Amino acid sequence: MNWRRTWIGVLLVLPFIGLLALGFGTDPHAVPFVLKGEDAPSFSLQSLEGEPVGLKDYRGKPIVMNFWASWCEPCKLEHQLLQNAARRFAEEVVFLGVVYQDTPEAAQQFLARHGNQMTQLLDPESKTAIDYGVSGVPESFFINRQGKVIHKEPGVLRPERLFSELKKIMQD
Amino acid sequence: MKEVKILMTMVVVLFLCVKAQGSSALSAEQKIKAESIGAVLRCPVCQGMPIADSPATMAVEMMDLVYEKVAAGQSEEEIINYFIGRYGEWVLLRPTTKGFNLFVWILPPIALLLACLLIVYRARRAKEKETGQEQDTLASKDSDDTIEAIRREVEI
Repeated sequence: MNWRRTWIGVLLVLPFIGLLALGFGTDPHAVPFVLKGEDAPSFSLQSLEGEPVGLKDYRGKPIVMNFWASWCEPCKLEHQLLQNAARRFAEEVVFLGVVYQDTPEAAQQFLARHGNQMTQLLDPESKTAIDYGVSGVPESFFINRQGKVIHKEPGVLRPERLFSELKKIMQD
Repeated sequence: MKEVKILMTMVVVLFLCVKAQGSSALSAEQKIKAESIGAVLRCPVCQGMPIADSPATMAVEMMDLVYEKVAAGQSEEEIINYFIGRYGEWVLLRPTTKGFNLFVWILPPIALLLACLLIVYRARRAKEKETGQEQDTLASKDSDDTIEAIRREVEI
């Protein structure tokens, strides 16, 4: 067996295998979280009650920002968890809901049926959603006291994830 | 079946109306600029479709934002960088030729070149081997003749 030739072959093939492993190991549909550690994009929206609400109103407070819609089935799964957390941490953390591609009426009906402890905002042209790089609902962002985006949770929030991220933004 | 066709037509008409509404305030040149930007930006909720061609609400809203930014006088680079800042380079349908992405552009020609070199090398080796074998055959034939001649002489 010619070892020299074998080693050259292995060295030539290894980078290709590495690249293939990298390619197959990443989900091509997963949107990267580019806002990590960046300042949270500012917004100026209206609440479901018609009140103007901006990010600047919550300066110095940790924020959980949840994009959701009444037509989104997975959003129902995490709704109660978010409501319980909003009630439990009402003094320490701001819980904001952003209604995504939905009508105010449908959102209000949903909240009347399932309960609401959060400030709910309307984003009629999805400008805030695009500013945060949202690619679907539910999607939640955790912002610390310094106004930096610490974590993005695409999909349904699990209790352990919610509490571990809450801990981080409350400590920072 | 007929209902499905009617529904599909309605969706397409609605999509075109929404598209036309978003770009109505732009000049023809600005519209072309916005469409060309929309053609390179990936729709986040579709399967590899540009926002300019997708009827998805998210894509339509992203396209509206592109129209708005074009109308505000932003350059193509500024608008594309805005979307990269939100969705990363993932949002680009055509990867850039910077950093790690450079591999995507460089590796295929390198692989092709290496494959060509390997083929040429193997072909040469095969030819050399063939020539060597012919010479060996001739040499062995010569030696056979010599041995035969010696044997004849010895026998005499």
